[in-house]
Amino acid sequence: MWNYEKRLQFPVNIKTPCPKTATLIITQFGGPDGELAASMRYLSQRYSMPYKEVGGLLTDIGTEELAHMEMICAIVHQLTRNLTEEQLKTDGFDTYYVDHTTACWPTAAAGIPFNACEFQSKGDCITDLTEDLAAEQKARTTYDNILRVVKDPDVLAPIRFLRAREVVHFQRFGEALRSVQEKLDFKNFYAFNPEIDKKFMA
Amino acid sequence: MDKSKEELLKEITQASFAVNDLTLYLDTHPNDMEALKMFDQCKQQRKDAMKQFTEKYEPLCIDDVEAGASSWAWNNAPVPWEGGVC
Repeated sequence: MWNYEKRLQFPVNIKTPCPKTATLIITQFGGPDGELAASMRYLSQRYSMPYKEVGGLLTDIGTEELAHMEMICAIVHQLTRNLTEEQLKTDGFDTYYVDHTTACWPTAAAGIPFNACEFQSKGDCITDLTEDLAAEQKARTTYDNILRVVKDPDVLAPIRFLRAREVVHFQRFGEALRSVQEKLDFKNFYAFNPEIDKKFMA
Repeated sequence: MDKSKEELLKEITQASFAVNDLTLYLDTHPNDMEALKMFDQCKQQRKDAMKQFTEKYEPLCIDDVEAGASSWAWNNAPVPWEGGVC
């Protein structure tokens, strides 16, 4: 169950629309390392996670990712508010505009639509947590790439915040992976999969 | 002195962020007494700021919708993605 809170996790107040920037930022909504994939990844992985504190962490981070998705959509929305006819023709935005007008739709920057194949829910806690660690780093790199090409300080502030959260989540998933390994056979972490080989579990 | 809407929302944002971040930390460090104490403090700050905001402006959570109202206040707040106060 979820409750909605009517505020953003971090403020987004963009004064100058820029459809070109929107076509880059949107990748963190529907792209391969975006916030939608992040949230779906963690929330999907929870059900078979045998350790309740790790399942709890997946819930809490998966929930925060929904708030990040909302921030990204707010950035995209504010960058494409009140556009002139000339701005609608912006190279790269024009092709998005004909299909979606100025609505938010999950796609990667290069136009590939959101796809569940961008994340994995594998049913093996070492595999899943390793995927989660990689996902946080890939998102961090994407934010670094955005920070290199975007100059508007109104866009940079929330993007820097989101980048910092990737680093914190990476740290927490690292701690979760270590706690899982401590529960396994230290001579062979792969002797059994605690998500399915229940008979081997203490 | 009366706090403005912007100031109150900033307090909510800051206290709520501390609560979120401490939640993740405590998920992997459940016995850190210092963090547990900090969590209690930040949670209280968030609760107080939310209460003040709701009383002066509008509810941000469904639980804060006022009882006995003559009209539905839940949708009176501006949508967060338009910017402005949040």
